[in-house]
Amino acid sequence: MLPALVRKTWRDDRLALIGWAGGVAAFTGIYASFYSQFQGAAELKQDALPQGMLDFLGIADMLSPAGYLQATIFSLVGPLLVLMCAITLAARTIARPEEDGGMELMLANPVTRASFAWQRVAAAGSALTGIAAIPGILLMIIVPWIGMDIPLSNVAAASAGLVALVWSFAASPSSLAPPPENGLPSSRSPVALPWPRTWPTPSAACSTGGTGCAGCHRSTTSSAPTRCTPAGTRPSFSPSCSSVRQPRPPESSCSTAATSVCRREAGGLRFPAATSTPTRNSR
Amino acid sequence: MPGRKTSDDVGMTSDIALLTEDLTKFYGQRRGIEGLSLEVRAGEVVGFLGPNGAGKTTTIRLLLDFLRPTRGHSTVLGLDPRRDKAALHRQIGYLPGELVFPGRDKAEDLLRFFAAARGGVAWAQVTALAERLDLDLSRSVRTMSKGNKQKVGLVQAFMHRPAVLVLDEPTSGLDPLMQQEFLAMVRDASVAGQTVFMSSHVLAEVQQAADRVAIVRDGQLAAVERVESLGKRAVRAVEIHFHDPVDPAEFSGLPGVSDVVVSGPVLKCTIDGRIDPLIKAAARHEVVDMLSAEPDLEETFLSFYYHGEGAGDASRAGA
Repeated sequence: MLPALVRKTWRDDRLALIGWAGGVAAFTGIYASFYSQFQGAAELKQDALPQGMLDFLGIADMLSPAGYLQATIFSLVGPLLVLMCAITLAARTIARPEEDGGMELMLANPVTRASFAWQRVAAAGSALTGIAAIPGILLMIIVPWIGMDIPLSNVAAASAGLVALVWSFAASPSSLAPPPENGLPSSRSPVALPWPRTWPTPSAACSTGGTGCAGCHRSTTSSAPTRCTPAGTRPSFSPSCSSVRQPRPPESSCSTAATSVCRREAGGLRFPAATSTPTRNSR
Repeated sequence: MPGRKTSDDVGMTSDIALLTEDLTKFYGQRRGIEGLSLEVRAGEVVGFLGPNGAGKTTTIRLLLDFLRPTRGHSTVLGLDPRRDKAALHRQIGYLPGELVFPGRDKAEDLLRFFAAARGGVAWAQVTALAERLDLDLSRSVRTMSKGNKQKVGLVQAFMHRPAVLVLDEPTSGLDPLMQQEFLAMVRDASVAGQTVFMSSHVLAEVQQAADRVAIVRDGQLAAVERVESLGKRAVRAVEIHFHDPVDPAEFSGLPGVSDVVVSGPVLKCTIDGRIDPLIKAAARHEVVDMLSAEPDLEETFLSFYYHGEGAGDASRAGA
């Protein structure tokens, strides 16, 4: 039997899930079954659009069946659709119940914080995987049915790519859920949440490659927000970080590449700015 | 003296349901609760009183590990709220002060979720509670009134017969009849050996059900008292309408009477302790109407503790 919280999460989200699944299915079905009617107009459309526009829309070739599916379903609107669904649903796992207060009663059940988080994310994640798989599943039926000349393995690969995309985006809103307002860990008690309070920006995470400033993104069990500076010392100007335009870059062994993380932490910001989309995918 | 313990405290953990030692929580600079040391014995009903913002909800959230203390620690049933959270919450019935239910389920489905999450609850227990509180389980919780939501909250707190009930302002939103029913539920729970820790800002409801009250103000424990000793010092505001104007001097000298204000035929005063001397004095005149109200706890009762009287067994002269 599945944990009660997983079932509850699905039930609470059922209307949204049905709606999104229906929308994605309709979108896929309609576009794919228009293929044969569209063939006459395809060349016209492709010629009418300038190359830059075609590139922007991700249209390589509207004439071949694979190109048609790529242009219509897998390049722009399809991913957008499932990503919108992913971000909406992922934000509901922890951030929204925390905000509206519904989390208190769910946490009052005999579950640890970590298993609460996992059950919520697992429930939303499995539902999302299902929705993201809908285009692939439908195409598996439609493609042979209307006689499109594409190997089903290619359809499966494209579909898997869509699922992976959804996973990597769904992970960010759920992991970026702010910690409960009242649950801010105090200076002495260890971080209370099962997820790290700070994510490195993608650029910093990639460029440091886990070295240089590994201490910057230590998480979960460490006490207090970790910084590059040794505990208690104020960040002060240091020549080693002078390449960064910062009046007070943190003094530490940080490589300059990692200072974007360090700077945030030293400045007291807990989350990366909204513009930087941290990719914490399911690797 | 804040944090005073009663003399008959027992040091055995098995006997103590809730224990806090120097429990302190600061939200940055803002104080939640400071230096709270409190013991609640198993099977006891303790009211947790204080004005808004005194730190009642903070304390309760600390006990449930929704917050982590800045300093000090607490144990519930001898367990650590943090380390043993899952095991502990099986034995705690919790009613939040701000009740928000997850989802838009019918009350019945919501309660089935709570039952399943707590490892199974006899459904007869749920229906019995719902019947007792006159609650319609077939309605969606989203569409319910505040009072009905509160009833759902009470049902989920009581349904698994927890060893400890932690209730944050349990009567808010309930009508007087249901408040009485709730207090009866608390008494039944106490008889069954369950420990009840309930916060409130209404003295009267706590007086009816609790064995002891702990009073907090400005984040600090002001007093822990047995309810019997509270009754003796219950302060009342009395207003008497006479037929003819009266002389204030007649009343101001009476034992326990203070703040005498006379405007024409209307006498207003507060009385601490026995009301008899005032009644006898008033009976010499023709009385048209008489109102006696228990004053607001926040205004009168707490100020009593803070204006030189202190806690403990000190009682006012003449009371």
